[in-house]
Amino acid sequence: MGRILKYGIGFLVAFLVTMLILEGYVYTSGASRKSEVYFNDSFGKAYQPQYDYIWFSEGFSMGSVNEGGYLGPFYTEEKPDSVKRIVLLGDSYVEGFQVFDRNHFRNHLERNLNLVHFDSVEVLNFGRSNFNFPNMYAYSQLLAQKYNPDLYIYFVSREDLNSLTTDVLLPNVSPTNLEVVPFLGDATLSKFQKANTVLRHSSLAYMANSARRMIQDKGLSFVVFEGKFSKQTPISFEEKQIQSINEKLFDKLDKSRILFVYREKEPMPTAMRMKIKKAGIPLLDLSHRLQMLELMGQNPNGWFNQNGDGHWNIEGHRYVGELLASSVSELID
Amino acid sequence: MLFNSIIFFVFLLVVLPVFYSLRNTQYKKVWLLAASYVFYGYWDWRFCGLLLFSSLVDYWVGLKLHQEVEEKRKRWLILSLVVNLGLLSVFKYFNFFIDSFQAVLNGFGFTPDYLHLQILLPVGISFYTFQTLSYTIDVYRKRIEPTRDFLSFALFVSFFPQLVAGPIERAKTLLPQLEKLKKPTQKMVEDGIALIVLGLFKKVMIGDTAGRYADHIFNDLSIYPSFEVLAALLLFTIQIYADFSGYSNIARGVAKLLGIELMKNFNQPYFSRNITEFWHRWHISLSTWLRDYLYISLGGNRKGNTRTYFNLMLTMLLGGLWHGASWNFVIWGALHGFYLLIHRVWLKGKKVEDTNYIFNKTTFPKTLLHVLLTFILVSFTWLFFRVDRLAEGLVFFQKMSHWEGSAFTSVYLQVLMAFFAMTFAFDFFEYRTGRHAFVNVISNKGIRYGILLALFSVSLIYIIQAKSSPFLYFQF
Repeated sequence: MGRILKYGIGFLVAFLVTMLILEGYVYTSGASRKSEVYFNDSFGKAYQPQYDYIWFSEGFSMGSVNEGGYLGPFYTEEKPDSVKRIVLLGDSYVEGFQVFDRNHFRNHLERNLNLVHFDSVEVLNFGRSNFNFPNMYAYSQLLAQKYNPDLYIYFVSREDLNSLTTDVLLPNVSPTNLEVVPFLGDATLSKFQKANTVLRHSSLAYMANSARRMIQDKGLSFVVFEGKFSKQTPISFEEKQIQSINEKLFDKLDKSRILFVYREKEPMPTAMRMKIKKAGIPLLDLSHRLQMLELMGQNPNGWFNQNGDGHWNIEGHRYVGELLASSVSELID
Repeated sequence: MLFNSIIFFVFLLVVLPVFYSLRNTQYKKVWLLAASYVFYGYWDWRFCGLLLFSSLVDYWVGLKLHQEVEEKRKRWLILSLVVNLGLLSVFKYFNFFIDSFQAVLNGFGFTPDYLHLQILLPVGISFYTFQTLSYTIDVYRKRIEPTRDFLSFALFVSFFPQLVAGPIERAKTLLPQLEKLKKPTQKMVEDGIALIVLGLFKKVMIGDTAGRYADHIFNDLSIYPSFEVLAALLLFTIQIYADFSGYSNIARGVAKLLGIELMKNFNQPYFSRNITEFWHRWHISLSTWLRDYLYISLGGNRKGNTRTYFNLMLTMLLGGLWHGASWNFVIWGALHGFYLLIHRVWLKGKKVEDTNYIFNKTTFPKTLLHVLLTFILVSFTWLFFRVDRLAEGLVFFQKMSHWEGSAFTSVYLQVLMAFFAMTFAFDFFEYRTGRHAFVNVISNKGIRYGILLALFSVSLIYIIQAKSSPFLYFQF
C-alpha cells in the first residue's frame, strides 16, 4: 500500500512539475502561443493590448498587438492636423499575421505614401480574422473611427456575398435595426470566458485546444493518416444575391472616405461588382493583377511549406502595398 | 511512415502485440519483415521492389563470396559494389553529375540537350545501401560468415526501426540478433519506452520547433536582418542535432521493444572539445563506417603523413557527398576534412582523449572555451549543410559583413535560450548518467513515468495540431 502511495504521489508530482517546466519552455521557445483574444464589453471579442506573439502558420512573424488593441505601430487617437490617416478593415488577409509588420502591406503602403506626402501618412491595421463585412463595419464604428481616419479601406471577398455570422461574440450589426453592437448575443459568452481564462494564460492549453479543434474540424482519420486518404472538396461559390444587410450597410457608408478593395485572386462575382457600383462606392479590384503576378511566376498566395494557396505571402504583401499606394495617393489629397 | 506521426503509433500498436504473441522465431521474422515492408511502402510501395532487389543481390553475393575460390571472390565483391553503388548513383547522383557536367560545358559555350531526369529519391537509400555494403565487404574480408537464412538477411536490410535513417548497423552485431529474435527483457522494455518518449520529445518539441524558424528564414535570407539570419543558423544547429539524435533514440527504443540492441549514434556531440572528438560523438554509425570501409581501405594512416592527410580529406569529401548530391555537401565535408587535418597536425601524433572530464572544476573554464570554439566551428559548417544553393551562402556572408540589427533581438535571444537550455539539459543528463534513457536512473517508477507521460502528452498534442515534419536525414 505504502509503495503504491509512494509511486502514485511521485507520479502526480513528477507529471505536474514536468508540465510546469514544459509550459515555460513551450511559450518561450515559440512552440505555441497563448490566446490573443479576450472579451471586452465595448468591442466584443477583441485583441489583448500589448500581446506579444510568435506566429507560425503558412508564414512566420513576430510582433505585438499595440496598446490600442490593433496591429502595427501605435498611433494616438488624437490626430495632428498635418497627418492623413488611413484605416484598413478586413479579415485575416488584412490582419496578416503570416508576415512581420515590416513586410506587411500596411507598412509598404505607409512607406510609399510618405515618400510622396513627406511622412504625414499613418496607416492603421484593424484587420481581424473571421471578420465579414458587417463585422468590419461594426469595428470601424466602435474602434477605428476614434482615430479620426481620412480614409477607410475595406477589403472584401466573395465570402462577403452571403456572409453569415459564425461568431456572435464579434462586433456586429443588429439584423433587425442595423444598429452597431459590440456583440450579437451572449449565449456562448460564459463558455468562452471560462475557456479563454485558461487559453490566455497557458500555451500548453492553447496547443491542446488547437489539437482538439483539428480533430473536430478535420476528423480523426484525417489526423491519423495526415490526409493521405482524404479527398478535399473544393469550396464552391455561387453568384448568389448579395445579402440585404450588406446592401443596407453600403447605403450608410460615407462614400467620400471609403475605398473597397476586392482582395481575391479569383474573379469578382458580377452580382457583387454591380451592387458595389450601384452604391457608388469606389472599388479597386485586385483579382486580375494578382492573377498576372501568379502568371509571372510569383504566386502572391503561395507558401514554400504547403501545397495549396494560402494568405498573401511576403511578395503578395509588397505588391498589394505598392499597388494600393499608387491608387490611394490621390484619394487622400 | 514517420516516427513522429500518429499512424506510426497505431502501426506499433498492431506490430508489437502480434510480435509478442508469436512463439515461433520464423513466424516472428516473417511478421517483422512484413511490417518493415509496410512501413517502407507507406511512402511509396514501388520502393519495396528496390529493397527486395538489394536484399537478393547481397544475400546471393554473400554466399558466392564464401563458396568461390580466392581469385574469383573479388569479382563478386565488385558485382555487389556496382549494383549497390550503381543504384545509389542513378537515384541520388545522376542529376548532380549531369547538371555539373552540363554547367562545365555551358562554361565552354556548348549547350547540350537537357538531360536532367525526373527521379524520385527512395527514402533512406543511402542508409540501407551502406548497411548491405558493410555485409558484403565484411564477408569478403572474412570478418563474418555469410548467413544462409534469407529471411534474417532480408530483415537485416529492411528492419524498420533503423531502415530509413540508421543507425547504420553492422551485420556482425545485428544479424545474430535477428536470427535468434529473443524476447526483450524488462529492462529493455523500460529503456525502450523511455528512449521513444525522450526521442520523440527531442525530435518534435526541440527539432521541429527550432526548425520552423530556420526553414522560414533560410527560405529567403535576403529579407531578414543580420541578427535574425545568425539566429536561424544557430537554430538549425539545434534542429539538426535534435532531429537526428531524436530519431536515433526512437529507432533504438523501438528496436529494444523488439528485443534488438542498436548502436548509439550520438553521444552529446556539442560537448566535444575538439573536432576529432566531435566526429567520435556525431553520427557514430556513419563515421565508423567511413573509417572502416573507406579511410582504412585507402590506407588510413599507415602510408605516411601526406597520404594520411589525403585519405582524411577524401573520406570527408565523400562523406559530405553521401549526405546529398550537391556541392554544398561537398563543401561541408571539405570544411570538416580541413578542420580534422589541422587538428591532426596540431596533435603531433597524440591521441584524442574522450575521458569524461568536462565538468571537472579545475579544468572547466579551459574545457568550456574548447567546447565553445568547437561548437562555433561546427555551427559554421552547418551553413553549407542548410542552404539549398551556394548563392544563399553568399547572402549569409553579406549579411554578416553588413550588420543590421533587429527590432526582435530580445525575442530571438529568449527563443535561443529556451532551445539551448532544453537541448543541453538533455545532453547534461545523458552525459552525467551515461544513458540516453536517463530518466530510468530514477528508482521511483512513479516519478519516472510521470515525467515520461508529461513529455509524451505534450509531444503528441503538438503532432496532432501541427503537420509532421519529416526527419532531415530522410533526404539522404
